[in-house]
Amino acid sequence: MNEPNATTATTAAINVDHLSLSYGGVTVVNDVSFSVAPGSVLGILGRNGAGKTSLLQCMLGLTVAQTGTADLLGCPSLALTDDVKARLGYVAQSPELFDWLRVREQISLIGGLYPGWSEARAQALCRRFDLPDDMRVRKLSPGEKQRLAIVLALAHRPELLVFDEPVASLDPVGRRDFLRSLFEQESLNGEAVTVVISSHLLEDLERVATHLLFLNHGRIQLMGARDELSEQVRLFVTKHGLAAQPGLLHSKKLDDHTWQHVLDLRQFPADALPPGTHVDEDMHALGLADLFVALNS
Amino acid sequence: MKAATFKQREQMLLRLAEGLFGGWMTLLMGVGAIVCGYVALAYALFVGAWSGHSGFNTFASVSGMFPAAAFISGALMLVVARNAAHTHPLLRLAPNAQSVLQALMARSAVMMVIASVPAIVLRAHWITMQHANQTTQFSLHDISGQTYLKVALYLVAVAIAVFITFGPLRTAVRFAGLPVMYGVMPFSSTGFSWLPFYLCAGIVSLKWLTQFIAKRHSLPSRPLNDDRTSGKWQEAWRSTGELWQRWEARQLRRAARAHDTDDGTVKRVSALLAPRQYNGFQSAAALLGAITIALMPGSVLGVATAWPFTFLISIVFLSTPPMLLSRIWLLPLGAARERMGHILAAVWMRSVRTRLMICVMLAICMKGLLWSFGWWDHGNSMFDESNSVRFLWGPLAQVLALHGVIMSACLLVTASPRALQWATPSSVASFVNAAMLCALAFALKWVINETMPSTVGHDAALGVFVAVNGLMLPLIAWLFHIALRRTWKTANLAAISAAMQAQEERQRRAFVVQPDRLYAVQYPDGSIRHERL
Repeated sequence: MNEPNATTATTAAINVDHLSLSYGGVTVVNDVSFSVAPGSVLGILGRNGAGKTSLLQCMLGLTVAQTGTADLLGCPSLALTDDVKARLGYVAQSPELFDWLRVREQISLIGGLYPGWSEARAQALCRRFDLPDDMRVRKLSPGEKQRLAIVLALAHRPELLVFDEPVASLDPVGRRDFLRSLFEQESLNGEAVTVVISSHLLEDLERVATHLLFLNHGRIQLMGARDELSEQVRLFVTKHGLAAQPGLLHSKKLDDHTWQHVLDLRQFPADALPPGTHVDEDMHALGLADLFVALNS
Repeated sequence: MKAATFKQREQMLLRLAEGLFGGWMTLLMGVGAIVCGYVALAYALFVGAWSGHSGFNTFASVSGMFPAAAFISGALMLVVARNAAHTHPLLRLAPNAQSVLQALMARSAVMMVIASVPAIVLRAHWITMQHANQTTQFSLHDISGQTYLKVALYLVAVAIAVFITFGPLRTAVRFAGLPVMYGVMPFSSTGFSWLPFYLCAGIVSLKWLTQFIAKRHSLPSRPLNDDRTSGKWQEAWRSTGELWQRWEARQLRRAARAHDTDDGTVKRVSALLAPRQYNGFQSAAALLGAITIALMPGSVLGVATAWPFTFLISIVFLSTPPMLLSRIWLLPLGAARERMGHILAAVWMRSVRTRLMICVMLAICMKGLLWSFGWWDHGNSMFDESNSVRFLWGPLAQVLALHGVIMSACLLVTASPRALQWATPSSVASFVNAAMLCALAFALKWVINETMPSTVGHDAALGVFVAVNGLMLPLIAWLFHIALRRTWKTANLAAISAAMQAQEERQRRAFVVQPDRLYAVQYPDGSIRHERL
């Protein structure tokens, strides 16, 4: 994961540049820029209504942002070519499937559109996800619909996979199968598979994500490589509040009148720390769940 | 090899049509309608008829409705395919989907052409027979070219209106049934012929009104998963009607004081659900009812072919607000399990009666407008009815009949928890109305006419209409409801609630306002095209 200028648009699997989207008076995506290198697994985190789904939809060209652009595999998302579409897989939060068709009919219909579709792989995925192939889609449970959407997204071996809350309706077995499929995923042309996942299931993200992006009220709150974030983002407790600085992500006054701060040491100026502070001794590293709570509490 | 590819592609198109247009049953109905039209056309072509014979008149008018429905629905199929190309995530992100959708649209256009032949000929046949000499034999050769042209232009105009309303203007396709339904009816009077166009205009106005309110209250034009905006829509709608709010508050106060009786339970449940009872379908139902009451002459109600109108309108009225039975059951409202059906029917009827009141007020205003502008006489001249029938007995009969039919449907729908568990209330209501109530009403009318010959005449027909629809049907439905009451003891309340919630979600989606914007999109080859995304 890099800042947009650090990775050129041609090498990045995803390049998002100053995307903003408003509905009525509410800005749901606010000047978001980032790029994702091929082979990365980007986890997008945020509270309900943080703008995750809107960001993904703008990124895919399903919704048109008021400002900014997004490129997927080097192609503008509003003008995706068939070649790029064939290398894409997407699972929506509430998958829009054809309710009247049977599972196998749905797979065969969508499969017929993809040049690299493998019927054998689709069947294998159906078996893995335990999908009843003779049942009509409208009769499937929400979890089964989600599994069908995952099969449709994986069967053509895409290079870029975008998942919007893919495991929200899945049981633990379904979640395990999904994660296993992700690890085993290989693209048709042998390129590294890039994955973007928006999810609330932090333990799953902790296992698969190489990069993380925290979204809050449509803005990027924090982003970076997972290892880097666990090293550089620290919890710091002081007796007094700290002045607003770049890198001071969150401050909260506790019941005992002390202050709890979340600092991004990549940006926070060292001279702004109280004298005598030792990073390794006085500041605590945060797990993903703690970091999420600390940023959003 | 080519044949195999062709077969594969056609299979895919058929599957896509099945997925987009509502399943193989819908496709089968479309094919059936066209076949039915051609069979009727062959019959009309080879067998002449006496123009005064009402049976053949009815046959020509009814059989002409099927291919006309297929023709106008073809325009809807174009709309659905066009919209899917822009908005369906699976198809938008799939390669080659655009070309497949274009092929599907081309086949829909071919289907329209095939359906247009029997639709035009049979409709022209019926219109000519209406005005032909009653004693002469009549054949297709007696229809003038001008009649064919008029009918063809009318059907094309309705199809274009439907396409524009639900396509480029992006109103919810869920409402398309109304203009299609009225477009296929074999009206010959000018006033009724305009109904599909009035409806299209009304639906577009409703959308623009929604957008206007959204803009005024800084609301999103589509639902957001955001605490900051949820509930603001309902507030905005409510704040537009202060009077309504006061009336609602009074109802709530009264309900809170209700005695602990069955009626008190119904009142409390109604009050509890009152804030949920707003959706655009209810406004649409009131508007549709008002248009029909304002435009339909009272003397027409004696004619049996006019009766199904009441049943069709009542289906729209029965797009009832969903009731979360599980919640009602778990709250201390005094709801006994076997009384659930009764509570459902009673709560729905309260909401229906409110809409009927609004519908009557709207109809009075419309009728006054039509009368003051002299438009009424134009469409109504052929019926030659007295002022008392036109302005009092006719509308009153329609309101009473509508109330009776809706009540009967409510009682029948809520009689069987299994039916509610299996399908949504409005789909059960559609079946109940179309298949059961309509047939029962005709059977009752026949029995009355046979046993009391004095009721056959023109004067008594209005009375029979009210007696059958307003009194007998509700009575029979109530007996049926009482007989099945015990089945609610073992009802799966969670499953019924889930079915109703699914219906609510569909209704909510129907009112999602799509933004009307064209976007300049730069393609990788450097070309710039304007697209509606």
